[in-house]
Amino acid sequence: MTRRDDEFAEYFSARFDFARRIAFALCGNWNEAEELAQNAFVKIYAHWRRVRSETADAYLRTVLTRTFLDTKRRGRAREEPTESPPDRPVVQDTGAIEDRPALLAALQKVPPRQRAVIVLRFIQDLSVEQVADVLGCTTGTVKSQTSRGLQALRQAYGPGDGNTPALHPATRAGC
Amino acid sequence: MWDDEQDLRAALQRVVDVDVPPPGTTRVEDVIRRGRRRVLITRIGTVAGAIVAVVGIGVGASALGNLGVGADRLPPAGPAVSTPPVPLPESPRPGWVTHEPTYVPAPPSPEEPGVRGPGMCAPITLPPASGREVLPEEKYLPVLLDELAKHYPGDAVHIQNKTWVNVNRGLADVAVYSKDKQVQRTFSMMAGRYGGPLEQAAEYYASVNSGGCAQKMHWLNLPGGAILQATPDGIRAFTRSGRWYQITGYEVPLAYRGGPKDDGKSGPAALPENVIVDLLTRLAALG
Repeated sequence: MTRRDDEFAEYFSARFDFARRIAFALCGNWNEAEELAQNAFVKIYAHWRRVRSETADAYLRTVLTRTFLDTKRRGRAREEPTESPPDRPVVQDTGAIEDRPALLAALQKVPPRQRAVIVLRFIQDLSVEQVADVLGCTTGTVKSQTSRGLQALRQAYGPGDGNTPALHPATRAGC
Repeated sequence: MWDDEQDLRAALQRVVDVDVPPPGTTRVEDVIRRGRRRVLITRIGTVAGAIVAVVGIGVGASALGNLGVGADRLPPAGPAVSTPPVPLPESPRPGWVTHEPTYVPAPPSPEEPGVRGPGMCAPITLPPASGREVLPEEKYLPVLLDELAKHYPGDAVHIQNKTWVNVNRGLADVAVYSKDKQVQRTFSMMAGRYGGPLEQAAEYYASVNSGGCAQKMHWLNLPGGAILQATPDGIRAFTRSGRWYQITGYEVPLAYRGGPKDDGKSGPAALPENVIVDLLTRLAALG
């Protein structure tokens, strides 16, 4: 391995799970999240010489989000299976909280670009300006996408009708 | 639901606050290998683009020369050099036919009101694929290796990588080193499955890189209803049973390393088209 490869491998080891978490929030599926993260790192490798260590995470976030949006634009999501799983071990999500799957499912019903804005703003804690940089749009667009995305999320998650768990932190186990 | 933004933030952050399962197939070596391939493809594209520009200038100058403009100048430089990717010929090769898309819309004309530049089309949707989820790697990889051995007898064949891109798509990279140690050929095979009619799937895959619009395509009908499809993107095989195969790659002199010290005389070249056609024909015969 060259020095470039060593540096990249070190960064990959340190941040692959970070990338998978973001991807998981975006696509709601660990298999797809891994593919997404892998594709993002492949793109980063191609530009590794230009990636500065202090901005590497921001660059990773940008590449990952844009790769996700490209994937959705090209309709690759329809290749995702819904039948039996592949021939590899399935990892159980042992840390699941009761209402987390419902919120995750609701998040997946939000249109991809609005979902990306929500993930970046509320899960990644980025400012409006930072999200605009990642997505290559104006802050006004980010604000409007946030508003629409939250509306879509609320609709998808539904009111507290007795079947859907309430989301207020005080009512949840483990909070 | 959520009292304020902070509640929402906390709720969403808990969605990803889980133990990350161990990665399934991803190894850093695979990522680096794919990254290198991407760098190489980018370089090939840059070189091809530069050549296209030079040839375009040459053709333009020649055309102007024929019109008498600049007739007192020297003629343009020699003929164009064929470089990868091999362009799709205007007319189908012998045995091939032009396929007119019926499922995917044609690109809008630039003359249409409100259209600027290449237009985007409303993408079609393929129905979910049916049948076996996991592709029979043990079935198609030996066929690929066997066909390569026939084309390159005595050369060293090495499987560089085989993995599942996802549960519907498999990927295998095979390198063939010539016995005189002069040339390395890399064949990247992707195998997948599709849902719906063959024609719809073939048109769909051909439109993915053209904004969802149909692009020119030539078909070669194979026994059993399978087809080979040539587009500007390359050649793919589709079978009636819902499988598709694609082979891409390049051949490069082993002295070439793509670095700044290269003499520039010998870089990556396209794989022989007849080899790709033979490989895909064998794979398509698997059904």
